[in-house]
Amino acid sequence: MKGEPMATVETTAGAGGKHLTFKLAGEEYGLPIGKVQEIIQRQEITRVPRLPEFVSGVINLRGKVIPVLNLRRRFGLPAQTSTGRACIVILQAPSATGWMLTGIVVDEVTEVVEIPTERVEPPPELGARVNLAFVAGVAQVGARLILLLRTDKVLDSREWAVVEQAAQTEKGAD
Amino acid sequence: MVRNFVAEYRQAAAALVPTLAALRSGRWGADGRPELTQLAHQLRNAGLFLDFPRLVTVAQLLGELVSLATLTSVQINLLVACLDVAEKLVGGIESNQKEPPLAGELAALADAARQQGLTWKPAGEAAPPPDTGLSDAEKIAQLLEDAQAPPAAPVAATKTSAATDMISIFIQDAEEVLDHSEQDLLRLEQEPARLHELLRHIHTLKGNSGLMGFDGLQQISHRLENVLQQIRDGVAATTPARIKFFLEVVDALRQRVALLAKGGTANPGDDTLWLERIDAVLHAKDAAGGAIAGTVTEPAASSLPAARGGVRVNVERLDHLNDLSGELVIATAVVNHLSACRPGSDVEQFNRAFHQLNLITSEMQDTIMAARMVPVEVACRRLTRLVHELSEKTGKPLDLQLVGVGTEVDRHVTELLADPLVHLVRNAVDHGIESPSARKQAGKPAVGTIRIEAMHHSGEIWIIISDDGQGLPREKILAQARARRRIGATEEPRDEDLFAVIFEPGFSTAETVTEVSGRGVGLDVVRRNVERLRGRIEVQSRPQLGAMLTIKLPLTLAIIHGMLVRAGAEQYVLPMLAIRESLRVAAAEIHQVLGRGEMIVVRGETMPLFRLADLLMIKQPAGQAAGELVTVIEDGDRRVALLLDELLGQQRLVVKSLGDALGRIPGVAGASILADGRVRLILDVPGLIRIAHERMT
Repeated sequence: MKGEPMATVETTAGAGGKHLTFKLAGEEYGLPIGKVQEIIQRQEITRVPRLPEFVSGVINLRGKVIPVLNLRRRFGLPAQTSTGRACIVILQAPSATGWMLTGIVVDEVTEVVEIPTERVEPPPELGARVNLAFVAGVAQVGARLILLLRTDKVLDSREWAVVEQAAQTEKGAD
Repeated sequence: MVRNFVAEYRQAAAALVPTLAALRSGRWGADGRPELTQLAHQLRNAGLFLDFPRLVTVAQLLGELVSLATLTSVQINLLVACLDVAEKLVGGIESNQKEPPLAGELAALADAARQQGLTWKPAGEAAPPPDTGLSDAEKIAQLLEDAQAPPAAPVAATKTSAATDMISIFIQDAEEVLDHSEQDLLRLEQEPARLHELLRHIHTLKGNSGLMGFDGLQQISHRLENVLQQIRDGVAATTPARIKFFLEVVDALRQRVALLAKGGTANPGDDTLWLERIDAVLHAKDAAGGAIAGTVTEPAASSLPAARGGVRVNVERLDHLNDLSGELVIATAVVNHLSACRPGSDVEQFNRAFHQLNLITSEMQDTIMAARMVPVEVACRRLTRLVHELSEKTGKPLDLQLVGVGTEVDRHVTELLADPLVHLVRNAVDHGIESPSARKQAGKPAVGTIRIEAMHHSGEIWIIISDDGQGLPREKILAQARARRRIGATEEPRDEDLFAVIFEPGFSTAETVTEVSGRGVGLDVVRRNVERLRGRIEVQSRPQLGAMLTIKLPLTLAIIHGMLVRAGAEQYVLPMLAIRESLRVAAAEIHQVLGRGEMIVVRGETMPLFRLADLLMIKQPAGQAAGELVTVIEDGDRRVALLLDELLGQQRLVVKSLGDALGRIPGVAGASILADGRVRLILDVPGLIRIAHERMT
């Protein structure tokens, strides 16, 4: 499978390194900085029909049309009207034909932090409000608890296609 | 083999006498360049293949000199010296089968070359040929053996990226050369002078294959060249059977190139068979003895079409440039937008600057799009051969006329049009053109004409395929259309409505009688490809006079004229080409059909009515007042009315793909970025109509 080598890098053992941290529904999350292309201001997102709920739509990134995910919906968190600090983090994700850019909407970007590998613990069995498949590990930085995300799982575009099929079946039923 | 090479060289050298005379008197005319380039190439290839390193070195220097734009008198002298040394080397090779050392001459050349900053690569010194103690004949025998032992290509063993690049360039060249060779062969009987061109093509292929180490290809093209040379020298004649055989050889070569393109070795394992078959022709001579065609005279160089100057550009890079220019268009639009909403002191200056930006942008985009353009001819390459074969198979004498095929279209168009043209020509021959006897009875010339004409017409490219056959069997098509309930039992459709039916998948086949059979599958492909190019097809037919199909394509694929529409909270782009009309209707004119759907009557025509958001399955806030604005969209003869809230105006839009992630979404063709920087989806009208039809059934 294509995502495999990446997945090994992002598991607990090797999850240290520089991370971009952001806030979503009160929790703090981290993304490996190498996967982040840029952070842009929140802008109007154009809806695209027949995609799963967690795909907000598409935006214009300097002439390129790229999809944007709503992480709250992706993680099953309550929806919230955006605070003024909401922004879109543009990530690189592997795709069938090389690299693909995808945006995720987050409540607020906090900082870039160096996370020593030894601070990273495996994801807890209980208590997390997030689907554990998305979490590579949990890091303790001072008093903060940061959930480190597996971008390959979060951005896996194969899931979008599945939902598209589901939408068609639903249509067939009516 | 050495003898062949020497003979070839002598012939090339003889052609160079006037050029050489001019050079000796210090004049360098660019008109001698093609011959000199060819000679340098020939010497180098022969040197590499027959293992004459000194010759290779001299040939390389010669090639480099010839490629210079202008020559100083010193360089002209050097060029002459190169030719002299080459002559001496070949002389020595002819008498002793070995290169003479010529140490003094070569050292002098080396010095002069270095002074001029030119390359001097002594192939012999760098890699002295391993003295295996074999005679040349034995070496050649060994080469032949290697050629038959797969995997033959040393290149294939060490595939670095550079080697892969080389191979892909070789493949492109070889494909082109084989296409041209085929054209030459097909016209050889009418235009014997084409033989020279053909020889040159096969020679090029031989040389390139040799350089790349594709021995099978090289051997076969070499033998083919020998046979062709015999024809040129009047030893053998051009007969239809031979031409047919040569076409088979070209196919065999093509097969090898195709194998390479797939990443394999160029060896399907039947090299020996082909070599023997060609040799059989070589030794057969002419059974009839006396019946030998007169030797062909070389046409004056000026009568040959000048080679088109061109640069190979990596398609990905070109696509990227194309994207960039699109972005520039958008950026310009943004500036335009800003200028409209920003009151300032330097408005006039700003406007002037903006105007300039506008000019540059559109010019740049035109140029870049032009770089993607190729003549329609590219899509017609297979047709000459096809018509030739169909004529043989069906016994109908045929004439294929290509008119205006120099008209340029996007590369993508030729790619998608090649197959449809094959289908249409095949159909025209099978079903349109009558047998010679029937034609005679109808008072038509025995030779059936198929004509393909390309032209620009009111912002579109039209490609017209016509024949002078019997026309489409209208009655049978009508009966079939009625049987399929595409047309009402009592309805008397206009031709254009009726003939559109033949493009539907599965139309015709067995029920429509043998005459029309087979028109089903092929025409469906035609329609699909034309649709992908956002074009349309119109059919006209006159009984006994022939049929005419017109493929109408938009000029560019990168830009469309679109209508920005609003449906509820969302805005979308509808391609102008697909909009038939827009009108206001009163709520009373919208009829409910058994509570299952809605319809309206537009100018006597009943059509289903849909809300765009429903078709796209987008949730709309409930209780939205139904608009009364209706836009009729069409795909061929299928029409659907869309209920919209607002038309926001037409504009030229750059088409963007939604990317692999979002893939193909039913009803959505792509996206575009508007002047305000926002993304709007471009709707796929054929797709929307398909969705609508699915809903109705």
